[in-house]
Amino acid sequence: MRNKFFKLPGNDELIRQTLSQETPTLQRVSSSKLHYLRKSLGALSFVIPRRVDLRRRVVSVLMSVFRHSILIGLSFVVMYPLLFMLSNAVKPYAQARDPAVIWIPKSVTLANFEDIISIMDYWGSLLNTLLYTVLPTVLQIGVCLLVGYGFARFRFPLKKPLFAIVLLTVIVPPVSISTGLFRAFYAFNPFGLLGFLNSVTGGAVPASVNLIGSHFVTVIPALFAASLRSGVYILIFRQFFISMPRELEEAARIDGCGPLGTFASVMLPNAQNIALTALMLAVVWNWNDYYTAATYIRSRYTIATSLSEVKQLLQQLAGAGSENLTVVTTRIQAACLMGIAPLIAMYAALQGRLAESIETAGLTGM
Amino acid sequence: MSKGYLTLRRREALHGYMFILPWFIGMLLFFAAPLVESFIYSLSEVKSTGQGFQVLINGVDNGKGLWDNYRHMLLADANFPQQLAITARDTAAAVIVITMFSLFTAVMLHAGFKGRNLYRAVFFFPVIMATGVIYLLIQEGLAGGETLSSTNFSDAGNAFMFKVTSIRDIMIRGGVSAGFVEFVTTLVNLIFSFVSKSGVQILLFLSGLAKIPQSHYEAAKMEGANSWESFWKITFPVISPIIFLNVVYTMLDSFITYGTEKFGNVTLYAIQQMGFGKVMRFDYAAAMSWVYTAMIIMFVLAAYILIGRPSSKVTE
Repeated sequence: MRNKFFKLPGNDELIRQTLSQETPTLQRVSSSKLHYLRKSLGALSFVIPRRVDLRRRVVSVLMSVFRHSILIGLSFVVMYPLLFMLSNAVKPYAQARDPAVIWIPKSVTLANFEDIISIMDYWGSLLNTLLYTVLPTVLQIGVCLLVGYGFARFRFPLKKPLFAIVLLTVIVPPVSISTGLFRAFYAFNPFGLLGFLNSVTGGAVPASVNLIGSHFVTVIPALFAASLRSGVYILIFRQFFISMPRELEEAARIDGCGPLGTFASVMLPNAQNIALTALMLAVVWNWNDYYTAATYIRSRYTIATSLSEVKQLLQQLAGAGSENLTVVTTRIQAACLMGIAPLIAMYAALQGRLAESIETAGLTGM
Repeated sequence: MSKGYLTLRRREALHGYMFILPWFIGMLLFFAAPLVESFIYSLSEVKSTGQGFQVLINGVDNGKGLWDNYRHMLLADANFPQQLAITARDTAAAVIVITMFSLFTAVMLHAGFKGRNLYRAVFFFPVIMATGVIYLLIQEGLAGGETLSSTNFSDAGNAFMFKVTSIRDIMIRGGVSAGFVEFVTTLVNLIFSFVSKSGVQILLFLSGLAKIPQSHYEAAKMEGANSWESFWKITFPVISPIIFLNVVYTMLDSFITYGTEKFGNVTLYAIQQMGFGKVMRFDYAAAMSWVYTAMIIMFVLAAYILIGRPSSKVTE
């Protein structure tokens, strides 16, 4: 049935003709045998160029030109902002309005960076960002790994409705709970615990604490897998752990490991790539998250909040005159570039891991 | 050792609860409680006093009707329904364009050719930039710096991004209708916004494509299938669950990404300003956010009904 309709293009045609002349019985040759024959006759097709072959080659070259031109075009779109930032950030501001200068400045200066470092208190903002967003992110990913493992491997009553709530936390936008959350931080009194202690100790412990503007606003939710997009990571990790073979854990359990020990010694090392990928996404999202910083951290400037105000600061400094606009433009580009420079460095370092976790298909695990 | 008395089943359940306990506590404290609280706010009148807040439930503690905030929003508020409609429209457009674009790009990047790793690195790069403040600064430059004038993110880069003014001039002089020119220039301006929002989606598609063994394509080729046919018969069925995943991801991304007064997610900006801006009306902001949440849930449900369920088409 199969061979009756079998179409053999190009080389295969040649092989078949050759075969049919010499050995008619081999005409219904199976595809795997054909493969070997084709390989051995490969040299022949080089000696005798055929029209069909030429056409195929032209088509494949055209396809590759087409593919690369689309991809290069899109890459340019993607990289444009970065190139623009780079080009402007190193321009002396006299050249920002020079029509003769488009991409490559006539001379390079670091003045824009130096100005920005002092204007937006770069090192202070960076430190705040590291403390308020990067550190909690690491905690958050760690806890989400545990929770994801819990949902993936253990059977317990109410598992499905609980997991449905995880999905709900992903769906409900942060702004919907922000009014209630603000009050929860403003008068922090978990389960009435502080209020209870207050009445027991007769006022030695405050009835509630105001956490707004402190480290705890980001650290405490991170410890309980309740910060920005935690549900997404729990989901990703759960899918990943489900796709892992159970034999690994059984071996560890036989060696006398408890569930936590098994998790730490066997599952975590395997989840390295996926965890780093998630960590990278989490750091990026938290780094640029203006909303949380503006609402709950407020007075302490992170990179995101100080970037959002850098323009106003610059205009105040420049006296808001229109001839100073170029000063503002080049410095803003320097500010943007410096704001994401640590992220770019992180991406460059982790990019290989990311590619690996794509190749092993650990990301969706479905 | 009380553990010894537990059955195997019970011990497993206990361990499971142990692992998810941190999340459960966090969910109660920082999700469920604020969610319920904001619902109560939405049915009340929240007054700011010197010490804190005073919550008067409508119809119980004051003379208003219980649903007054909602009634006001839908019947008397001139802005909010419009803002909701804009966000819904933008999200629908983003979902369609981004899903198609990221599938197209992923299929192109999946094929084995030289330099694909470099392209992959490039295409995922916007994930770093295309969020938060940086994204707003970039977007703003793209729109010519005028759309965001009322906020902190004002005209950062006047000479920024794809300035299509010259093309626009040529087209208008060439007698092309103004409406069409506007359409084309808007599309060109939006390319960056769509491309830059596709990083994670491309990643998800690629990881789905990685699961299809190459031998399937070879077999199809042997049978005489061309690449168009093998895409629909082999690639598409495998990645269709990922299409649903990507649609939902794009939706949520668009729904929870912060915008400004006139740009990006206008609804979120309006809610944030109502609750934490100069007005500080917690009650009304809470009602707005509940209506917004209801809209999001409707979107996700619609996606589930339309493409989420395993349909018979795939198995045919």
